Amino acid sequence: MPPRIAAGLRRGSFWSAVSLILVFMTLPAVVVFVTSLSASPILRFPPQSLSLRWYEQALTYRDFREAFANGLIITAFASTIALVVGTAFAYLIERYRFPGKGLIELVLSSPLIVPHFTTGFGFLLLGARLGLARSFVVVVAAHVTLVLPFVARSVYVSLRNLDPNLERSAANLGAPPVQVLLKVTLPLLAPGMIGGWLVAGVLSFTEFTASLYVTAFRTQNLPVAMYAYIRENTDPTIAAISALLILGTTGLMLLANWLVGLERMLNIGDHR
Amino acid sequence: MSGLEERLAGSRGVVALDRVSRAFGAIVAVNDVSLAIEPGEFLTLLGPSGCGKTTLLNLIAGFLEPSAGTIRIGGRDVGHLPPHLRGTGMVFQNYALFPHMNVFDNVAFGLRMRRRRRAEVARLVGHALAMVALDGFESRRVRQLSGGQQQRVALARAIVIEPEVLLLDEPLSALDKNLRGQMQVELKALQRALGITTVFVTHDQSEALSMSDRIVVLDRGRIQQIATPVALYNRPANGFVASFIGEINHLRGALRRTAEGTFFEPGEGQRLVLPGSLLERCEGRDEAHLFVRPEHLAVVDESDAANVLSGTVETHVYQGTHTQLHAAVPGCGSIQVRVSGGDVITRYPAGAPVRIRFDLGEALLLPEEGAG
Amino acid sequence: MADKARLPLAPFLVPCVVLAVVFAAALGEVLGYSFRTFIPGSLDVGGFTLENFARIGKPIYARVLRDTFWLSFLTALFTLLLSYPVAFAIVRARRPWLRGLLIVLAITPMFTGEIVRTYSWMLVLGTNGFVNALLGGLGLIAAPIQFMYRSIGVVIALVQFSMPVMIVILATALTHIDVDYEKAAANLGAPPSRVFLAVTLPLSVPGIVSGFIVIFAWTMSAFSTPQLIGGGKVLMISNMVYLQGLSSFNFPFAAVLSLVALVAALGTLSLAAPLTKAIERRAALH
Repeated sequence: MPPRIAAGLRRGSFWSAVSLILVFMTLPAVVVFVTSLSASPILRFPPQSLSLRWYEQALTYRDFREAFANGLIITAFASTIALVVGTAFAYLIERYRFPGKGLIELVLSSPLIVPHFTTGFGFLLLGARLGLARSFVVVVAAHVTLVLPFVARSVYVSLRNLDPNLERSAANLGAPPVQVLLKVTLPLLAPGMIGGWLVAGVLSFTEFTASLYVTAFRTQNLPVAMYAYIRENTDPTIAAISALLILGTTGLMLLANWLVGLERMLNIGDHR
Repeated sequence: MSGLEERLAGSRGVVALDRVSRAFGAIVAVNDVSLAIEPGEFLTLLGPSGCGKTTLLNLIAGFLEPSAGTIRIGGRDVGHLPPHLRGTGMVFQNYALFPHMNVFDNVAFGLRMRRRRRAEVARLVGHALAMVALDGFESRRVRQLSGGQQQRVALARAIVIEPEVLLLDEPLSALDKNLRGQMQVELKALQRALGITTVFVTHDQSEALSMSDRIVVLDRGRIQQIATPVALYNRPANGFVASFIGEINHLRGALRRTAEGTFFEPGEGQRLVLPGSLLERCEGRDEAHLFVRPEHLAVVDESDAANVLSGTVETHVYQGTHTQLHAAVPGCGSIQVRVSGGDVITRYPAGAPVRIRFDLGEALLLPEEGAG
Repeated sequence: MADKARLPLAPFLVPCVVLAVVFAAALGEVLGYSFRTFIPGSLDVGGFTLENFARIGKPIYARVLRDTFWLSFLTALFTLLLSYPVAFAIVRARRPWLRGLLIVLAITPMFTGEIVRTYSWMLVLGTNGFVNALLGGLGLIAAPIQFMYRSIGVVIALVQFSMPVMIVILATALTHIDVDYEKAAANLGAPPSRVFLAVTLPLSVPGIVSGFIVIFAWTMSAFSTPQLIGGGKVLMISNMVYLQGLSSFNFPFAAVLSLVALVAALGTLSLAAPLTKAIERRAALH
């Protein structure tokens, strides 16, 4: 076979394979959207008629509304606290040396490895012991622990990319260390901090497994409320709310990407 | 002149380093350096990479603490003062302009740290920008500026705070050749006008020669020589300085003392008469190193004059105003001779025999080739 | 730098220490409960005992553990096979918009949350779900294929879950392979397939190993997928913890299971570093 045709076939089959795989990856989301628009409460493909009733149902269902509000409260507190502690953590790791540094780094990074149900269970037990069983405090604490590594990483990357001469120059011009931090360092870290904050927010809002353990009916967030609904019902209300969640989280992640550049944070660049 | 220039001209910006050393683990970057900088002087720290010149600058600025010795600025011992209290103004190699601020805010930064009032800040910033020929640039963003413009803003930012001493860390190295030449002239003129004590770091010896009042030559952390450019060029203290500054020919040979005088013999049958003034550092030595500048050699036609050696032309390096002729001379290796005129290549083609006269009046004779 | 030139350590250290202590305390609670006696019908626990640990050895729990390892292995394997081409495409895409699109498609699903993703697979794999409706509608099958409540459904969903992470790991590894190696091989006469097999693939092995281990460890902690798609028929450690902890309220035993899961995850990941190094040494890679 002539080489050019062979090359073309090869390229064609490669991209076909990649496309099929991408279809596999995006299929569920597409199916969710289609299902959410179906008029019938029974799952059937293709939907016979379209309707927005499930969206209406989802948006008016009391448990979902309360869970959404709970989720906002939890996420607002958790992501903001994680931002403050995460920034301190990144700064600590990048700039200081002290005995026990490795230990702190290990403990605060370990939520990435510890199963979410172990973390959730642990906070449930801790909360019980402290008399805070299933209160918002415990939920927020658990969420902060879970999302901290992501914020820290985002800030850390920004910190590493900061030109050290900028801070030296500020000091040389008469800025004491606190002023250097406030006027030069933090403003330049802002994109990394905001990106990390957004990622933390999305992860906290959609967190399910640990939340299942630490929340009660009163404090449950949206994923937990959805789980309860799925166990009892089979109608596409969940599809509608899932579709809304997909849109919301994707939008926020695109925003975070624009600010920080997920490509850079994840270290996938154009290395030519 | 404005108040700024008057204030700067009168500054007692004396910097005194007394036996200053700085080590990083086992590596001694600055080794026992003592140095006194005169007020209003343009002093250059010159040397190859790793010689310690940037370390020294960072010690003066306060980004590093000395391992030994004292540093005084304006008479005060500043060794333990952090950078923001030292009263120096620094221009970094990559300019370090704050990317999140515009030109005005960059230049105003130091003034605001000193809590000057808004009207005063505006006035001083405007004046500093005018001094570096950037009036009207106040609201530009840093990324809209060219390299040369950024360099001027960095300069304005450093001088507007009226520092006791201005520190410049290879500020021109990122500029292309033409711009660099132009900036050298402007920078020197500005420094003259302001009368501000300035410490300038560079590895480019021609830049140092053209701009400095005095030059400190450093090698591996130690001072090799402190002198004016002319003195450095004509009377280098040792072989390192001789080789580092400008072009020079380096010959090794034996010393023969006779009743007619002392001769230098680079090889079989080669003999150069040495003027007495060269001999003092080589008392009692049998061998020595001779350093001669290419402009003190000439291509001649006489065959029997003293201090003429014969060789063969190897190659030419045409420089526009002159040509550097490279000739192979037995016993001496490759000798460079500066010849003016443009027809050198036709007069002395490669491979042709050539006679070179050595004018040793300004030459240097040393017992060792390296640091004295 | 002179000491007065640095910010004090305490303001940065204290919040981190506080959080670290809180998290350690939470894990400590789990550890503590694992040694206590379970009192059926009550949330209170009795005295010190090792019987919870002994219970792990019982066949039913050993089987859950084994199933967890097996499902994690299958997931990691298929995730690797499907992710490699996508990662390759991302890294080698010539046009920036294409690369950006691929990254968005591949990575943003990671942030929609596991409950949404698990539910969406229920819609796809159910008896009346998308796949069965499509295949039935096209006349390719007579009766619906049963994906739900079986391992195959769980694995399919878990694979799609894990692909974004695997793609990132592989893309990072591939990014660091200098294109010049491939150009040199081609210049020396190797056809593209050989260039891939002889140059690109071997050089990406550390990324492959690292990605496999990460997904393996991660999948062992998976919960909502086996819970909803497995529907009680496919049990992984996480589901067991839920049953014991939040259904039977046997906190001590749930604690032991949680610890086992943690140790398994830690153990697997701690293999990663020395294993990758050993492979790099064997392949004489830098």
